[in-house]
Amino acid sequence: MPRERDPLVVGRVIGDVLDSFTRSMNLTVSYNDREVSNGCELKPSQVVNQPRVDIGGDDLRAFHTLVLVDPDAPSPSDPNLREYLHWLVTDIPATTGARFGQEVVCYESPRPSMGIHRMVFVLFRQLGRQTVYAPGWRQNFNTKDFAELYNLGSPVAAVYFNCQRESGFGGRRR
Amino acid sequence: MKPMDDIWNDIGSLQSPTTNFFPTVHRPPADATTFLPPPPSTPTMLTLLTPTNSAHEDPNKRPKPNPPPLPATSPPVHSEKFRRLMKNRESAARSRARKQARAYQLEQEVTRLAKENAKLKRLQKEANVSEVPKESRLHKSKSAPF
Repeated sequence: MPRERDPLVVGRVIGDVLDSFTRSMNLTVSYNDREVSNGCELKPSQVVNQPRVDIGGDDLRAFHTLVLVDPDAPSPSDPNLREYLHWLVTDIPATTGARFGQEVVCYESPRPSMGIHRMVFVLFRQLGRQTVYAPGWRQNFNTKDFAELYNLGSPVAAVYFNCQRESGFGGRRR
Repeated sequence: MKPMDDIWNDIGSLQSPTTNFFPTVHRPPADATTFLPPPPSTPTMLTLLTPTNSAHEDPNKRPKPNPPPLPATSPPVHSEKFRRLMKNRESAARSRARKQARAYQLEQEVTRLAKENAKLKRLQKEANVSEVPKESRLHKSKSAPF
């Protein structure tokens, strides 16, 4: 049996947040000119402000939705707030970036207090320009249900990073 | 390294109520605040979890680091110790998954960058080979006859 080598599967992003999907668009997320690559570690101080998000594609008339969720809230060993919604931007035209879209839920900077959290960016293609309503609260968001509700289909791209408390003791209870 | 599926199967199989993990051991009552393992003379969770020479195995099978079957005792499925054991296992599995995912991501990037590098070098070489044609280069031409 061939060993799974997709970082999204091995890191259980596919499983805990998303179902298997085929990547079909470029998604580049950068915090202070540092590009996020799957599984890289960023400190809360490095992700205080919203990142620069550039998306690919070629048709300006194609609109996209971006979410940022934390499936490990409040702690990966007991994620009873899974998923915590940190950011929701819609109507992003292809070839542009998040700053060109509609910020439905504003960016809340990650501040994990317990454990090492995965912070997952997911990009969907919209059927057309559409009105998306912000959920009543950020916790217990469900990306799959949200995608179904707004007919977003499968994701077109996703990337995640790891984040823990600044002092670094998020991973151990001493 | 163990495949990810094996790791997750291990965790899944641990939740079976029929699996026994704790032998009857006689040792001083565990102090909840200490995390030191009991003296090595008595069997501990750690020693039981590593493969031993006395483990009965099919000689044809590759030995797997799974706990060998233990003498039947009442499984303290709800004990604090068992809970900690499970939490630690899950934490260890997440740690391995993090490490493995990062490694695979970096492998992908290295491959991609190496290919791009090779391509760019090739393009540069081709650009150097097909240099500016001689006629348009500056060179001395015929002097005027006057």
